[in-house]
Amino acid sequence: MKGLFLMLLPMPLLAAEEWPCMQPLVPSVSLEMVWNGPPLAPAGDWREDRDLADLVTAISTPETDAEEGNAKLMRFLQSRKQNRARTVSRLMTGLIDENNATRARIVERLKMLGERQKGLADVATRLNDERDRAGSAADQELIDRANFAQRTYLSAQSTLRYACDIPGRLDQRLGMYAKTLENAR
Amino acid sequence: MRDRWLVPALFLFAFAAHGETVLVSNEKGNSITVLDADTLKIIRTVAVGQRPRGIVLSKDGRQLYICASDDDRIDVLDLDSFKLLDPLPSGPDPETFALHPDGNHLFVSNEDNSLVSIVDIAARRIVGEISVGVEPEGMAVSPDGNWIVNTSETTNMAHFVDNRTHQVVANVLVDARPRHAEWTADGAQVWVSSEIGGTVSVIDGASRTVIHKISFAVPGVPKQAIQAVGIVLTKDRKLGFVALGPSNRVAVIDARTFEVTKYLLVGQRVWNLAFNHDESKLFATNGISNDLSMIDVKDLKVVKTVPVGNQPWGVVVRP
Repeated sequence: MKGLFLMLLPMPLLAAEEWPCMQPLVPSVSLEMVWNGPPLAPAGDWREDRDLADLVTAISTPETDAEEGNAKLMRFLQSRKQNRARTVSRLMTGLIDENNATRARIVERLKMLGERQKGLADVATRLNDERDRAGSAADQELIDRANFAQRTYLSAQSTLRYACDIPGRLDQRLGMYAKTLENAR
Repeated sequence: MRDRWLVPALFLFAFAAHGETVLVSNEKGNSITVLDADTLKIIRTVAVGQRPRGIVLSKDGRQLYICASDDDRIDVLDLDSFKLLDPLPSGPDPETFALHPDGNHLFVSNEDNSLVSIVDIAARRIVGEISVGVEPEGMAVSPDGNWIVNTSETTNMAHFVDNRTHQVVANVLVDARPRHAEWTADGAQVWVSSEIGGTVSVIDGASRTVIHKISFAVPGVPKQAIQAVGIVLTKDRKLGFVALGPSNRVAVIDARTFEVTKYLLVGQRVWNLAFNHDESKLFATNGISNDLSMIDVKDLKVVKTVPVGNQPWGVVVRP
């Protein structure tokens, strides 16, 4: 039984690594990873342009749907036909900055989730061992506690698996924004 | 007079109607996207088993074998009717596989139980199992069919298996999380990519030792984003191409000197690669941007990128 349960544990936890996801950790995304247009001219601090900064912040939250964010970006570009190169440059720089800030927060939360999972795995394994050692003499309370710990671990594991996809989804959205800006130049 | 033109016209029609097609497995879309290899227009999308990843063409090119990882089976897609035939057994969680040159044996990596399953296609059953390292992943059969190479993600090794005895005869240590193994067409070398290590180990096929390690560096791209995954090598062994994951680049390598000569920007999280039959085109699946890039091999330029399904993974080209 112990062997079976240990098989359920993902290798990153067993290896006691800090990063709990199967996807290797990419701490940040650079302009070079997503930008396929001509070099962006230096355009100063993107936060100085209040409306532009508000848009960048609004469409960079983890909750923003990529299509909706992209539609807002296109509407903004439509409303700013002057100084197009500078606008595009500021938008792209701002979107990279905000994406990386959001990513960093999510990465930290994922690491915390991973730590918690390690704790849950320890508890579940210990209770499983106790139950196995007790054999037929195991009382109902121990059996219930072991089962509950195992269920809690597995449920948290599926949440973690879902959460591990979030950095990739943020990068996917950033890639979509980058394409829109490339086409807007 | 009319008949004089009829035969060539029919020939041309037949040729045009049987152009190359690109087949892409969509890991989250649970489907295969079929595209025209010249225009990259989607011809159709076929629903298959859950989490399709590794795909390989049958020897006659008329069927596509598909690792349906979450259904623990190999789906078989008839490429004339685009109907699914009876599936083949695979062992648990098949991720990738390789077809033996005999056309009848598939070597399947079973990620969950540290085994390689040998599937007899005609007999429709598993005829053998080979114990390998933890989380087997990349699979490759030597061109003469005598050697099987399997990589194990956690053990960080390329295991060389004698196909007559099905025993592991050598374990070659490579960098972290080896993903893909590729033999050169002459059987002299095996190239093994390491996702976390971000390198490709070139292993001599006879001595089974690493003779060169290829590293990558893309200006402005964090090192952690350079994750080596899919590999293809031209038959003349002059060029190698390596998909570099979230760096969104395909590296071009002089396969004689092992020097990286160029990085091509494709879509996001480029994963697997496939040539067309004359190696004039190279196709790359981009798992995060959900698209497929086509590279002109002579010009070494990305000529087109088109959307496919959700999380494209594997790619093959049907002649």
